[in-house]
Amino acid sequence: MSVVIDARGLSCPQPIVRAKKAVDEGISEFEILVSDDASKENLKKFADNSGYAVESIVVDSGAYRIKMKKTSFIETKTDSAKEEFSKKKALLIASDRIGRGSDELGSKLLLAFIYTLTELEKKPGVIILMQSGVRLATEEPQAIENLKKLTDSGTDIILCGTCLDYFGLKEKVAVGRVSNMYEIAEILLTADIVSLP
Amino acid sequence: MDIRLTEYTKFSGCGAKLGPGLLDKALCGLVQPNYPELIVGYAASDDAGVFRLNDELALVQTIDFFPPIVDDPITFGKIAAANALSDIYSMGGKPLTAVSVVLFPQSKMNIEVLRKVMEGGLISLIDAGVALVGGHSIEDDEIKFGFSISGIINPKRIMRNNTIEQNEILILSKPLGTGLINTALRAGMASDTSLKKSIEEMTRLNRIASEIALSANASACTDVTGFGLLGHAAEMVCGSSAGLTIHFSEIPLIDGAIEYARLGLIPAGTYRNREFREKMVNGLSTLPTFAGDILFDPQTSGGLLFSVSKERYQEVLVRLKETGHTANAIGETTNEIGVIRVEL
Repeated sequence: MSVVIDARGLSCPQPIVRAKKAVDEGISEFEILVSDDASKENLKKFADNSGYAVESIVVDSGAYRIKMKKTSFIETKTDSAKEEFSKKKALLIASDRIGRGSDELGSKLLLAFIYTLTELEKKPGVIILMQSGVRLATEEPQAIENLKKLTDSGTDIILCGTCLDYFGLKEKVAVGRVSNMYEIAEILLTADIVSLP
Repeated sequence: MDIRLTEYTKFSGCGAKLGPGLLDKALCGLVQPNYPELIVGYAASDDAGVFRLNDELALVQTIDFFPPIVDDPITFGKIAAANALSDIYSMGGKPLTAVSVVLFPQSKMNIEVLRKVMEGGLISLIDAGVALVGGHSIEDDEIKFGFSISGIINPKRIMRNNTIEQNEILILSKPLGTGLINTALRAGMASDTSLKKSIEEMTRLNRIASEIALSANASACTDVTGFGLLGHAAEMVCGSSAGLTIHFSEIPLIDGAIEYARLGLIPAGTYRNREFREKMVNGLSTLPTFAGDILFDPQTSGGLLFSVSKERYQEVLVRLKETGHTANAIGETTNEIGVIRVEL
């Protein structure tokens, strides 16, 4: 960890220009210092859409010190990365249980399924949680623990923001990142999708 | 001339406007005598002031100037004029005369630049049939340019901004995104297609859109500028007898606007606009982040936003499209007085 970009005092969009330069140069981890709220918010959006995650934001003598790290899944928006992206499996979970019949059985099956994923050698590149599926990352301690393990091994876990709002679970997100229909649709059309019944 | 005007300025276009919250603080509580002839004064937060001369005739006045939003001086002049004229058009007035306002860094910039900016301004004024009668210039660190415009209006046919009625359709006459495209330009990331469309829209006069709105008896009209679509929509519902529902997917957008919003190429003005008005708006959190950034994007020389009856809106849309406008019906008025909703 040595790359620090000092963008203090620069007005928008210059901090983004600096961050993009670092991303284009393939720097996988860097810190950027900015002095205003707008630049901080803009960098968070930039990170979300450039295959980076904001690891931390620290207030440091009147400036924000924002740590950005490349996420393992969506590398960059280059064609080769998109190709690699499409080879990975994406898993769409749009319910808090598997299949119809017994609800109790359905939710047990789903928890077991998530656990099994952590044990497999080939893990999914991305897991998209929609509808009541967002409960897995907010209210199910066992699922949360296993989803965290998947995150550690590189799976990108994406939660539908509208769904979290609907169920009033936005404050309870314990794992994964909140996204929107735009990104979800993009992934569904690009990646190799498996949808749970 | 290879000068790039936007390199000389910290803010750009209407994004340079003082934040709406700040402006409220400065103006709140100021009083002047009650002039009966002053039909629309500053307390109304309307687009231009209107002063009655007699029963058929009123004076309508406005001023607007800002730092460069584009690199080419002639284009900047054209946009500055179109933007200043727009406040008169949005009231339903006919602009007659213009006075230029110039702030110029004479030690840093060749005077030839100012000449070109004026030339561009004059092109738009001539197009609008408006006479340039004079101007005022002072030295400043950064170039800023615009006009004060005076015109006439029928006092019985003023299109106020907050007189929307229920059961109407909301029309927007230009696509959104000029603030984002401009920020992308300053970052060196704007595509030629986006820039071209953005300039085409910013230089377009709101004259014809105003005529169409007037002839369709629009109940209320405003122009979308520095406070962003939702900022100006908020002004439309404040004190009115209706509410508004706006459908994001129906809003015309300049190509690239979504991409630039997602990359964080968002003007600081967007955040100020949002902070001031987001409490008034329901449903923002159900939209993707970029949608909020577009809905609050400060526009320069943006389109007219007006409300017409359900019987007449289709005819209005046809006429707008026939005259080259990228317009659409973006929402409707509701019976939830004072409430704005946004939906996908």
